[in-house]
Amino acid sequence: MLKHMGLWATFAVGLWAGSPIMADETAPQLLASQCLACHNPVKGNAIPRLGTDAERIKTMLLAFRADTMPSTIMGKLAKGYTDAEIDALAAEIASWGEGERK
Amino acid sequence: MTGPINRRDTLRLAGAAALTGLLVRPSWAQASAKVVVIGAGYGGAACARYLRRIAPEIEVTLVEQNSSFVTCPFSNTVLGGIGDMTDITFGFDALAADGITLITARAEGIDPASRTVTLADGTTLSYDRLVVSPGIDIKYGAIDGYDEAAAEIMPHAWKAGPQTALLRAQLEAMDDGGTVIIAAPGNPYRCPPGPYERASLIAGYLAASKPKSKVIILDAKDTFSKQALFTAAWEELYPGMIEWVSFADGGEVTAVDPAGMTVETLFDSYGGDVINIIPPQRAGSLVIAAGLSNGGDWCEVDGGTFESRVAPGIHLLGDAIMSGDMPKSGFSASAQGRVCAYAIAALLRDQAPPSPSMINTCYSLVAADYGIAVSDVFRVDATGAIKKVDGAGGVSPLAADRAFRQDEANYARGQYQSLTADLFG
Repeated sequence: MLKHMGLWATFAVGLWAGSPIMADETAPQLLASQCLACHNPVKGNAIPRLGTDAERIKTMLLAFRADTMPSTIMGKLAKGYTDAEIDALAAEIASWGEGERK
Repeated sequence: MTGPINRRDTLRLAGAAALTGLLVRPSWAQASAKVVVIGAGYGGAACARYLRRIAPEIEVTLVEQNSSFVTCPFSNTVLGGIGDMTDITFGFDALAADGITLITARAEGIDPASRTVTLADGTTLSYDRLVVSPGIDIKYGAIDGYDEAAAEIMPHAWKAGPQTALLRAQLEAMDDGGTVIIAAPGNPYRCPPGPYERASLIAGYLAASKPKSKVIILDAKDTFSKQALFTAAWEELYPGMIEWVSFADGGEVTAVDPAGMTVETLFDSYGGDVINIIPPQRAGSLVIAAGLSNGGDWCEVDGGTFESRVAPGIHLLGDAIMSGDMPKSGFSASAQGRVCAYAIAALLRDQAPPSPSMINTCYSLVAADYGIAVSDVFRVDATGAIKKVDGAGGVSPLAADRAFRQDEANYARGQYQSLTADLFG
């Protein structure tokens, strides 16, 4: 199960009109949901598990984005995120308990 | 609002709705909302599971006509003899264990006005919101002579399952020195790099088992996904085995003769020992019949919520939609399914859907130990169109050593294991 309830209020900015009014920022849970397609721990998987330490996750994402850490695709993906989003992603992923890492 | 709504309030609200375009919807605190999901592939399974996780108060019913799902991703490994049908077949027990109500039945009709779905046995299901991830249907007749009977002789194998097994059996039965023809369609179609991964893995099988054979790709396009990478890899791994005929060189297949095992192109006729026709496609017939494609082949949606542009309350996912910069891939469908789950949870709680962000990564195997990839990050603009994030994404480097290709082959398998575990495990 993903953590969810508390943050919904943060992103509730209005009622739905015909064409939805989007929240200004992307919810951290939604951002992180995209990582799970590849980083869903399966025994023997070549793709590394997501980390548990927010600072370390942030440092790695920033290094991928800056191409100072070699990667196959993570450098290309990390370039799609702002500093604030990388902070939010790192905090969200680190907040998951062991049982929630899928 | 406190207290019961009286008739005057109701009228006033109706007036306000008419003036402002606001729709008044029941609060999520009231009776639990019902979401029906049709199709338990990458889009539907992702949406149903994530909806259960993030909004347990919502009842989720998943309608799927088959008792298991055979993935198109990795079906080319079966054709190349480096994978098995059982490796790409998944049941739905884990989805049921999540609390999703599974109905094994074919959905026959959707009535957007009454918000109901009719099943093959006549049962109707009502919904507050409907999610349809119907995949593609083959446009039989688009290539002269290519109908359902012809597909039993010249398989498309573009819906994984019996067609995949049939094409593999034909490849196994072919004599050394035979010619395999792959007809690739024009854009848009399911899995843009798929025909070229298929040519690669079939060439790999032939190189090892029937080395005098060859593969001819007859293409309705002049360029294709990861073209430079595929072309370089073919020269390195399978020199002289794969011939690609572009649209400009007359590659588009316009007619087939299953009895004579020949295909016609604009300028020429080709005979093959095994002929794989990947024909033009459109959204699944269920959504076409319901009017959700507005008379066209594909359905238009708002990329933030995946809600239909023509039928409010109906969300569409995956290969069936016009998805802007996002390719029609299983991975894309699952990314969209997650975003759609967050949007539906918010909408049913009278909240604003979160601003979406999506990833797509498509790996292709050129050989068991040789992978290539295209990755992108997507956002949605003010008009609801899905756009690539500038400066991010891209394809594997053209100059890379075999260790890099081996890594990406390992990651291709890793991604497949991870994603199928997320959806079905």
